[in-house]
Amino acid sequence: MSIPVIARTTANLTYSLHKWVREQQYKITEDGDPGTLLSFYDTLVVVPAYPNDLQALRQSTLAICCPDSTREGRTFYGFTATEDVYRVAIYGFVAGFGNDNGRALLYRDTLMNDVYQLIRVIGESEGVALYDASTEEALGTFEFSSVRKRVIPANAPAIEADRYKFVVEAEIEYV
Amino acid sequence: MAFDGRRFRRRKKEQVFAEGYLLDHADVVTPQFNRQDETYFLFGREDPAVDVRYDVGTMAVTLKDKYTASVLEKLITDHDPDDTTSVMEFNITQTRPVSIFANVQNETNTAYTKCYYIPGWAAGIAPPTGNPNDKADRPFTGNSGLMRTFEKAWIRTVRVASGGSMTMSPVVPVQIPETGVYAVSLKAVQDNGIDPFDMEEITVTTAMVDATGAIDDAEIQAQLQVVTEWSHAFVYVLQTGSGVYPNVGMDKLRG
Repeated sequence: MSIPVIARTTANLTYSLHKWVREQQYKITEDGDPGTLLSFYDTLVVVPAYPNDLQALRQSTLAICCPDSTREGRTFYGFTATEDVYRVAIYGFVAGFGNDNGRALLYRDTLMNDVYQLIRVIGESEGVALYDASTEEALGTFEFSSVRKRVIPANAPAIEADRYKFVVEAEIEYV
Repeated sequence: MAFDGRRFRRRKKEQVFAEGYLLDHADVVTPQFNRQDETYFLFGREDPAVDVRYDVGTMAVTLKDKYTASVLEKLITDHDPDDTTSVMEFNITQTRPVSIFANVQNETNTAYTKCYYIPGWAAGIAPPTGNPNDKADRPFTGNSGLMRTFEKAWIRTVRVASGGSMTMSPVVPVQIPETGVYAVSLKAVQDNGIDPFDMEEITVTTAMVDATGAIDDAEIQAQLQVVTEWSHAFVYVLQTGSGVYPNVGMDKLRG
Protein backbone atom coordinates (compact mmCIF):
# COMPACT_ATOMS: atom_id res chain seq x y z
CA MET A 1 0.00 0.00 0.00
CA SER A 2 1.28 3.47 -0.88
CA ILE A 3 2.02 5.83 2.05
CA PRO A 4 -0.89 8.31 2.28
CA VAL A 5 -0.51 12.05 2.72
CA ILE A 6 -2.70 13.40 5.53
CA ALA A 7 -3.68 17.03 5.75
CA ARG A 8 -3.83 18.62 9.20
CA THR A 9 -7.29 19.88 8.51
CA THR A 10 -8.39 20.58 12.07
CA ALA A 11 -5.44 22.83 12.87
CA ASN A 12 -5.69 24.57 9.48
CA LEU A 13 -9.40 25.30 9.94
CA THR A 14 -8.98 26.60 13.48
CA TYR A 15 -6.11 28.87 12.47
CA SER A 16 -7.93 30.13 9.37
CA LEU A 17 -11.15 30.82 11.27
CA HIS A 18 -9.30 32.66 14.02
CA LYS A 19 -7.53 34.81 11.45
CA TRP A 20 -10.75 35.49 9.52
CA VAL A 21 -12.80 36.47 12.56
CA ARG A 22 -10.09 38.93 13.57
CA GLU A 23 -9.45 40.43 10.14
CA GLN A 24 -12.65 40.28 8.06
CA GLN A 25 -13.94 43.80 7.44
CA TYR A 26 -17.59 44.76 7.19
CA LYS A 27 -19.81 47.84 7.37
CA ILE A 28 -22.87 48.61 9.45
CA THR A 29 -24.36 51.06 6.94
CA GLU A 30 -23.82 51.51 3.23
CA ASP A 31 -21.85 54.72 3.65
CA GLY A 32 -20.28 53.82 6.98
CA ASP A 33 -16.61 53.13 7.58
CA PRO A 34 -15.48 49.51 7.31
CA GLY A 35 -14.13 47.83 10.38
CA THR A 36 -13.47 44.46 11.94
CA LEU A 37 -15.12 42.86 14.93
CA LEU A 38 -12.13 43.99 16.99
CA SER A 39 -12.65 47.60 15.92
CA PHE A 40 -16.44 47.68 16.28
CA TYR A 41 -16.14 46.04 19.74
CA ASP A 42 -13.02 47.65 21.16
CA THR A 43 -12.82 45.52 24.30
CA LEU A 44 -13.33 42.26 22.42
CA VAL A 45 -10.75 39.48 22.52
CA VAL A 46 -10.67 36.56 20.06
CA VAL A 47 -9.12 33.31 21.28
CA PRO A 48 -8.61 29.97 19.46
CA ALA A 49 -10.12 27.73 22.12
CA TYR A 50 -12.95 27.52 24.67
CA PRO A 51 -11.83 29.35 27.84
CA ASN A 52 -10.64 27.11 30.66
CA ASP A 53 -12.08 29.36 33.36
CA LEU A 54 -15.03 31.69 32.66
CA GLN A 55 -14.56 33.31 36.03
CA ALA A 56 -11.21 34.68 34.89
CA LEU A 57 -12.65 36.49 31.88
CA ARG A 58 -12.51 40.27 32.30
CA GLN A 59 -13.18 41.23 28.67
CA SER A 60 -15.75 40.08 26.17
CA THR A 61 -14.39 37.09 24.33
CA LEU A 62 -15.05 35.17 21.14
CA ALA A 63 -13.76 31.61 21.37
CA ILE A 64 -13.10 29.76 18.10
CA CYS A 65 -13.47 26.14 19.04
CA CYS A 66 -11.75 23.22 17.33
CA PRO A 67 -14.03 22.00 14.53
CA ASP A 68 -15.84 18.70 15.03
CA SER A 69 -15.99 16.26 12.13
CA THR A 70 -19.65 15.33 11.78
CA ARG A 71 -20.31 13.28 8.73
CA GLU A 72 -19.12 12.23 5.35
CA GLY A 73 -20.11 14.63 2.64
CA ARG A 74 -20.19 14.07 -1.09
CA THR A 75 -18.19 11.29 -2.67
CA PHE A 76 -17.09 11.23 -6.29
CA TYR A 77 -16.26 8.44 -8.68
CA GLY A 78 -12.58 7.71 -9.00
CA PHE A 79 -11.49 9.21 -5.70
CA THR A 80 -11.02 7.60 -2.35
CA ALA A 81 -10.82 11.01 -0.66
CA THR A 82 -14.29 12.07 0.41
CA GLU A 83 -15.69 15.37 1.46
CA ASP A 84 -15.76 15.83 5.23
CA VAL A 85 -18.35 18.03 6.86
CA TYR A 86 -17.12 19.86 9.96
CA ARG A 87 -19.18 21.66 12.56
CA VAL A 88 -17.55 24.73 14.01
CA ALA A 89 -18.75 26.62 17.07
CA ILE A 90 -17.89 30.21 17.90
CA TYR A 91 -18.78 30.90 21.53
CA GLY A 92 -19.27 34.45 22.73
CA PHE A 93 -18.89 35.66 26.31
CA VAL A 94 -19.69 39.18 27.49
CA ALA A 95 -17.79 40.58 30.43
CA GLY A 96 -16.68 43.92 31.82
CA PHE A 97 -20.13 45.49 32.34
CA GLY A 98 -20.47 44.72 36.03
CA ASN A 99 -24.13 45.02 37.07
CA ASP A 100 -25.24 46.90 33.94
CA ASN A 101 -27.51 44.14 32.70
CA GLY A 102 -29.03 46.21 29.89
CA ARG A 103 -25.77 47.15 28.25
CA ALA A 104 -24.43 43.63 28.61
CA LEU A 105 -27.51 42.17 26.94
CA LEU A 106 -27.35 44.69 24.11
CA TYR A 107 -23.64 44.00 23.62
CA ARG A 108 -24.28 40.25 23.53
CA ASP A 109 -27.16 40.45 21.06
CA THR A 110 -25.33 42.84 18.76
CA LEU A 111 -22.11 40.84 18.78
CA MET A 112 -23.98 37.57 18.18
CA ASN A 113 -25.81 39.16 15.27
CA ASP A 114 -22.59 40.47 13.70
CA VAL A 115 -20.80 37.11 13.91
CA TYR A 116 -23.85 35.34 12.48
CA GLN A 117 -24.27 37.83 9.64
CA LEU A 118 -20.57 37.72 8.77
CA ILE A 119 -20.84 33.99 8.24
CA ARG A 120 -24.13 34.27 6.33
CA VAL A 121 -23.15 37.14 4.06
CA ILE A 122 -19.48 36.43 3.42
CA GLY A 123 -18.71 32.95 4.69
CA GLU A 124 -21.53 31.26 2.77
CA SER A 125 -21.07 33.05 -0.55
CA GLU A 126 -17.52 34.31 -0.98
CA GLY A 127 -15.84 31.75 1.22
CA VAL A 128 -13.09 32.08 3.78
CA ALA A 129 -9.36 31.88 3.02
CA LEU A 130 -7.79 28.61 4.16
CA TYR A 131 -4.21 28.65 5.45
CA ASP A 132 -1.72 26.02 6.50
CA ALA A 133 -1.44 26.54 10.26
CA SER A 134 2.27 25.69 10.38
CA THR A 135 3.53 27.65 7.36
CA GLU A 136 0.74 30.27 6.95
CA GLU A 137 0.69 29.37 3.25
CA ALA A 138 -2.61 30.06 1.50
CA LEU A 139 -4.24 26.78 0.46
CA GLY A 140 -7.53 27.93 -1.04
CA THR A 141 -10.94 28.72 0.41
CA PHE A 142 -13.74 26.95 2.23
CA GLU A 143 -17.45 27.69 2.56
CA PHE A 144 -19.84 27.78 5.45
CA SER A 145 -23.32 26.33 5.32
CA SER A 146 -26.22 25.80 7.73
CA VAL A 147 -25.29 28.62 10.12
CA ARG A 148 -27.32 28.95 13.35
CA LYS A 149 -27.09 31.19 16.40
CA ARG A 150 -28.56 30.89 19.89
CA VAL A 151 -28.28 32.37 23.34
CA ILE A 152 -27.07 29.90 25.97
CA PRO A 153 -28.93 30.13 29.29
CA ALA A 154 -26.82 30.94 32.35
CA ASN A 155 -25.43 27.94 34.16
CA ALA A 156 -23.57 29.79 36.92
CA PRO A 157 -25.19 33.23 37.24
CA ALA A 158 -22.58 34.42 39.69
CA ILE A 159 -20.02 34.44 36.87
CA GLU A 160 -20.53 37.49 34.63
CA ALA A 161 -19.24 35.77 31.47
CA ASP A 162 -21.59 32.86 32.04
CA ARG A 163 -24.66 35.11 32.32
CA TYR A 164 -24.25 36.54 28.83
CA LYS A 165 -23.06 33.85 26.48
CA PHE A 166 -24.07 32.70 23.04
CA VAL A 167 -22.95 30.36 20.31
CA VAL A 168 -22.90 30.63 16.54
CA GLU A 169 -22.58 27.26 14.83
CA ALA A 170 -22.00 26.47 11.19
CA GLU A 171 -20.94 23.61 8.96
CA ILE A 172 -17.88 23.62 6.75
CA GLU A 173 -17.58 21.33 3.72
CA TYR A 174 -14.00 20.35 3.14
CA VAL A 175 -12.34 17.91 0.76
CA MET B 1 -9.68 -12.10 10.55
CA ALA B 2 -10.84 -9.58 7.95
CA PHE B 3 -14.52 -8.69 7.71
CA ASP B 4 -16.35 -10.67 5.05
CA GLY B 5 -17.67 -7.42 3.57
CA ARG B 6 -14.17 -6.30 2.63
CA ARG B 7 -14.56 -8.44 -0.49
CA PHE B 8 -17.04 -5.99 -1.94
CA ARG B 9 -15.74 -2.90 -3.67
CA ARG B 10 -17.21 0.59 -3.47
CA ARG B 11 -18.26 2.26 -6.69
CA LYS B 12 -15.99 5.23 -6.09
CA LYS B 13 -13.15 2.93 -7.11
CA GLU B 14 -14.26 3.55 -10.70
CA GLN B 15 -12.23 6.23 -12.47
CA VAL B 16 -14.52 7.49 -15.21
CA PHE B 17 -13.15 8.97 -18.43
CA ALA B 18 -14.79 10.64 -21.43
CA GLU B 19 -12.65 10.38 -24.58
CA GLY B 20 -9.55 10.14 -22.38
CA TYR B 21 -10.46 13.05 -20.08
CA LEU B 22 -10.96 12.18 -16.41
CA LEU B 23 -14.36 13.19 -14.99
CA ASP B 24 -13.32 14.23 -11.50
CA HIS B 25 -16.68 15.60 -10.32
CA ALA B 26 -19.18 12.87 -11.14
CA ASP B 27 -21.38 11.64 -8.31
CA VAL B 28 -23.85 9.64 -10.43
CA VAL B 29 -22.69 7.13 -13.04
CA THR B 30 -25.43 4.71 -14.09
CA PRO B 31 -24.99 2.55 -17.17
CA GLN B 32 -27.99 0.41 -18.08
CA PHE B 33 -29.41 -1.73 -20.83
CA ASN B 34 -32.72 -1.45 -22.59
CA ARG B 35 -33.40 -5.15 -22.95
CA GLN B 36 -36.27 -7.35 -24.04
CA ASP B 37 -36.92 -10.70 -22.38
CA GLU B 38 -38.17 -13.27 -24.87
CA THR B 39 -40.18 -16.33 -23.91
CA TYR B 40 -40.97 -19.27 -26.20
CA PHE B 41 -43.55 -21.88 -25.21
CA LEU B 42 -42.85 -25.14 -26.97
CA PHE B 43 -44.87 -28.26 -27.37
CA GLY B 44 -43.62 -31.05 -25.13
CA ARG B 45 -41.97 -28.76 -22.61
CA GLU B 46 -43.29 -27.60 -19.28
CA ASP B 47 -40.86 -24.72 -19.00
CA PRO B 48 -40.52 -22.13 -21.79
CA ALA B 49 -37.29 -21.49 -23.60
CA VAL B 50 -36.01 -18.04 -22.74
CA ASP B 51 -33.75 -15.55 -24.37
CA VAL B 52 -32.79 -11.95 -23.84
CA ARG B 53 -32.28 -9.30 -26.47
CA TYR B 54 -30.22 -6.22 -25.71
CA ASP B 55 -31.52 -3.38 -27.85
CA VAL B 56 -29.59 -0.35 -26.72
CA GLY B 57 -27.61 0.92 -23.79
CA THR B 58 -28.35 3.97 -21.68
CA MET B 59 -26.05 6.05 -19.55
CA ALA B 60 -26.64 8.69 -16.88
CA VAL B 61 -23.78 10.80 -15.53
CA THR B 62 -24.37 13.66 -13.11
CA LEU B 63 -21.59 16.17 -12.64
CA LYS B 64 -21.38 18.71 -9.85
CA ASP B 65 -21.30 21.99 -11.75
CA LYS B 66 -18.15 24.07 -11.44
CA TYR B 67 -17.72 27.75 -12.15
CA THR B 68 -16.34 26.78 -15.58
CA ALA B 69 -17.70 24.45 -18.25
CA SER B 70 -17.16 20.74 -17.82
CA VAL B 71 -15.15 18.45 -20.05
CA LEU B 72 -18.36 16.72 -21.10
CA GLU B 73 -20.08 19.90 -22.29
CA LYS B 74 -17.06 20.75 -24.40
CA LEU B 75 -16.64 17.26 -25.87
CA ILE B 76 -20.32 16.95 -26.75
CA THR B 77 -20.21 20.25 -28.66
CA ASP B 78 -16.85 19.72 -30.40
CA HIS B 79 -14.94 22.21 -28.24
CA ASP B 80 -11.44 21.56 -26.91
CA PRO B 81 -11.72 20.69 -23.19
CA ASP B 82 -8.27 22.15 -22.57
CA ASP B 83 -9.32 25.53 -23.95
CA THR B 84 -10.18 27.55 -20.86
CA THR B 85 -9.96 31.05 -22.32
CA SER B 86 -12.12 31.20 -25.47
CA VAL B 87 -15.73 32.31 -25.46
CA MET B 88 -17.86 29.29 -26.37
CA GLU B 89 -21.47 28.50 -27.18
CA PHE B 90 -22.72 25.01 -26.39
CA ASN B 91 -25.22 24.75 -29.19
CA ILE B 92 -27.89 22.08 -28.69
CA THR B 93 -28.17 21.61 -32.45
CA GLN B 94 -24.49 20.70 -32.76
CA THR B 95 -23.92 17.83 -30.37
CA ARG B 96 -22.23 14.49 -30.98
CA PRO B 97 -21.99 11.21 -29.06
CA VAL B 98 -18.98 10.56 -26.86
CA SER B 99 -17.41 7.36 -25.58
CA ILE B 100 -17.16 6.70 -21.85
CA PHE B 101 -15.04 4.17 -20.06
CA ALA B 102 -14.26 3.41 -16.44
CA ASN B 103 -11.26 1.60 -14.96
CA VAL B 104 -11.84 0.02 -11.56
CA GLN B 105 -9.05 0.43 -9.01
CA ASN B 106 -8.00 -2.31 -6.64
CA GLU B 107 -8.20 -2.12 -2.86
CA THR B 108 -4.95 -0.18 -2.50
CA ASN B 109 -5.46 2.04 -5.57
CA THR B 110 -2.24 0.78 -7.12
CA ALA B 111 -3.64 -1.05 -10.13
CA TYR B 112 -6.78 -1.52 -12.16
CA THR B 113 -8.62 -4.84 -11.92
CA LYS B 114 -11.32 -4.47 -14.56
CA CYS B 115 -13.07 -1.94 -16.73
CA TYR B 116 -16.15 -1.15 -18.80
CA TYR B 117 -16.57 0.74 -22.04
CA ILE B 118 -19.65 2.50 -23.39
CA PRO B 119 -19.53 3.66 -27.00
CA GLY B 120 -21.59 6.32 -28.72
CA TRP B 121 -23.30 7.91 -25.72
CA ALA B 122 -25.71 10.58 -26.99
CA ALA B 123 -25.84 12.66 -23.84
CA GLY B 124 -26.83 16.04 -25.19
CA ILE B 125 -26.80 19.26 -23.20
CA ALA B 126 -27.64 19.04 -19.48
CA PRO B 127 -29.29 22.08 -17.87
CA PRO B 128 -28.33 22.82 -14.24
CA THR B 129 -30.63 21.55 -11.48
CA GLY B 130 -30.93 22.17 -7.76
CA ASN B 131 -32.32 24.59 -5.19
CA PRO B 132 -30.66 27.96 -4.55
CA ASN B 133 -28.54 26.71 -1.66
CA ASP B 134 -27.59 23.43 -3.29
CA LYS B 135 -24.43 22.68 -5.19
CA ALA B 136 -25.65 22.68 -8.80
CA ASP B 137 -26.00 19.39 -10.67
CA ARG B 138 -25.64 18.79 -14.41
CA PRO B 139 -27.41 15.50 -15.23
CA PHE B 140 -26.33 14.07 -18.59
CA THR B 141 -28.50 11.19 -19.82
CA GLY B 142 -29.04 9.44 -23.12
CA ASN B 143 -28.90 6.28 -25.20
CA SER B 144 -25.60 4.64 -26.01
CA GLY B 145 -24.08 1.58 -27.59
CA LEU B 146 -24.04 -1.63 -25.61
CA MET B 147 -21.58 -1.69 -22.72
CA ARG B 148 -18.54 -3.94 -22.96
CA THR B 149 -16.87 -5.14 -19.78
CA PHE B 150 -13.40 -6.58 -19.40
CA GLU B 151 -11.78 -8.50 -16.57
CA LYS B 152 -8.07 -8.41 -15.62
CA ALA B 153 -7.54 -5.55 -18.08
CA TRP B 154 -8.08 -1.83 -18.26
CA ILE B 155 -8.51 0.72 -21.02
CA ARG B 156 -6.00 3.31 -22.16
CA THR B 157 -6.51 5.88 -24.90
CA VAL B 158 -3.78 6.62 -27.42
CA ARG B 159 -3.72 9.45 -29.95
CA VAL B 160 -1.54 8.82 -32.99
CA ALA B 161 -0.88 11.26 -35.82
CA SER B 162 -1.85 9.92 -39.23
CA GLY B 163 0.89 9.19 -41.72
CA GLY B 164 3.03 6.49 -43.24
CA SER B 165 4.19 4.54 -40.20
CA MET B 166 1.67 4.93 -37.45
CA THR B 167 2.48 3.27 -34.15
CA MET B 168 1.23 3.45 -30.60
CA SER B 169 4.72 2.64 -29.28
CA PRO B 170 5.67 2.51 -26.43
CA VAL B 171 2.10 1.44 -25.67
CA VAL B 172 1.64 -2.25 -26.49
CA PRO B 173 -2.01 -3.28 -26.88
CA VAL B 174 -3.49 -6.43 -25.38
CA GLN B 175 -5.59 -8.56 -27.68
CA ILE B 176 -9.36 -8.53 -27.17
CA PRO B 177 -10.15 -12.14 -26.17
CA GLU B 178 -11.64 -14.37 -28.91
CA THR B 179 -11.57 -11.64 -31.54
CA GLY B 180 -8.04 -11.37 -32.85
CA VAL B 181 -8.16 -7.56 -32.80
CA TYR B 182 -5.95 -5.28 -30.75
CA ALA B 183 -8.18 -2.28 -30.11
CA VAL B 184 -11.54 -1.87 -28.40
CA SER B 185 -12.36 1.13 -30.55
CA LEU B 186 -10.70 3.42 -33.07
CA LYS B 187 -11.79 6.83 -34.27
CA ALA B 188 -10.47 8.81 -37.20
CA VAL B 189 -10.14 12.37 -35.97
CA GLN B 190 -10.01 15.55 -38.02
CA ASP B 191 -8.19 17.91 -35.67
CA ASN B 192 -5.58 19.59 -37.84
CA GLY B 193 -6.16 23.17 -36.70
CA ILE B 194 -7.40 24.19 -40.14
CA ASP B 195 -10.61 22.31 -40.90
CA PRO B 196 -13.52 22.12 -38.43
CA PHE B 197 -13.16 19.34 -35.88
CA ASP B 198 -14.79 16.07 -36.91
CA MET B 199 -14.61 12.43 -35.89
CA GLU B 200 -15.69 9.06 -37.28
CA GLU B 201 -15.87 5.68 -35.58
CA ILE B 202 -14.00 2.99 -37.54
CA THR B 203 -14.59 -0.75 -37.30
CA VAL B 204 -11.38 -2.27 -35.97
CA THR B 205 -10.04 -5.12 -38.11
CA THR B 206 -7.25 -7.60 -37.50
CA ALA B 207 -5.17 -5.87 -40.15
CA MET B 208 -5.72 -2.38 -38.76
CA VAL B 209 -3.88 -2.70 -35.45
CA ASP B 210 -1.27 -5.37 -34.75
CA ALA B 211 0.28 -6.83 -31.60
CA THR B 212 3.16 -4.33 -31.62
CA GLY B 213 0.83 -1.34 -31.70
CA ALA B 214 1.44 -0.50 -35.35
CA ILE B 215 -1.57 0.99 -37.15
CA ASP B 216 -2.28 0.55 -40.86
CA ASP B 217 -3.57 3.92 -42.04
CA ALA B 218 -4.69 2.49 -45.38
CA GLU B 219 -7.11 0.24 -43.50
CA ILE B 220 -8.54 3.31 -41.79
CA GLN B 221 -8.63 5.31 -45.01
CA ALA B 222 -10.59 2.56 -46.73
CA GLN B 223 -13.45 2.87 -44.24
CA LEU B 224 -13.73 6.65 -44.07
CA GLN B 225 -17.09 8.02 -45.21
CA VAL B 226 -17.53 11.22 -43.21
CA VAL B 227 -14.16 12.63 -42.20
CA THR B 228 -12.28 14.06 -45.18
CA GLU B 229 -9.08 15.46 -43.67
CA TRP B 230 -8.28 13.08 -40.87
CA SER B 231 -5.19 13.96 -38.89
CA HIS B 232 -5.13 11.49 -35.99
CA ALA B 233 -6.28 8.07 -34.92
CA PHE B 234 -7.73 7.95 -31.41
CA VAL B 235 -7.48 4.37 -30.18
CA TYR B 236 -8.95 2.65 -27.14
CA VAL B 237 -6.72 -0.30 -26.24
CA LEU B 238 -6.70 -2.90 -23.48
CA GLN B 239 -3.79 -2.94 -21.07
CA THR B 240 -2.64 -5.11 -18.20
CA GLY B 241 -0.25 -4.39 -15.35
CA SER B 242 -0.06 -2.03 -12.39
CA GLY B 243 -0.44 1.71 -12.06
CA VAL B 244 -3.45 4.03 -12.01
CA TYR B 245 -4.13 7.48 -13.46
CA PRO B 246 -2.42 9.97 -13.33
CA ASN B 247 0.72 7.84 -13.02
CA VAL B 248 -0.61 5.89 -15.99
CA GLY B 249 -0.80 8.24 -18.94
CA MET B 250 -4.03 8.67 -20.88
CA ASP B 251 -4.00 10.50 -24.22
CA LYS B 252 -6.85 12.93 -24.77
CA LEU B 253 -9.04 13.20 -27.83
CA ARG B 254 -8.02 16.79 -28.57
CA GLY B 255 -4.32 16.31 -27.75
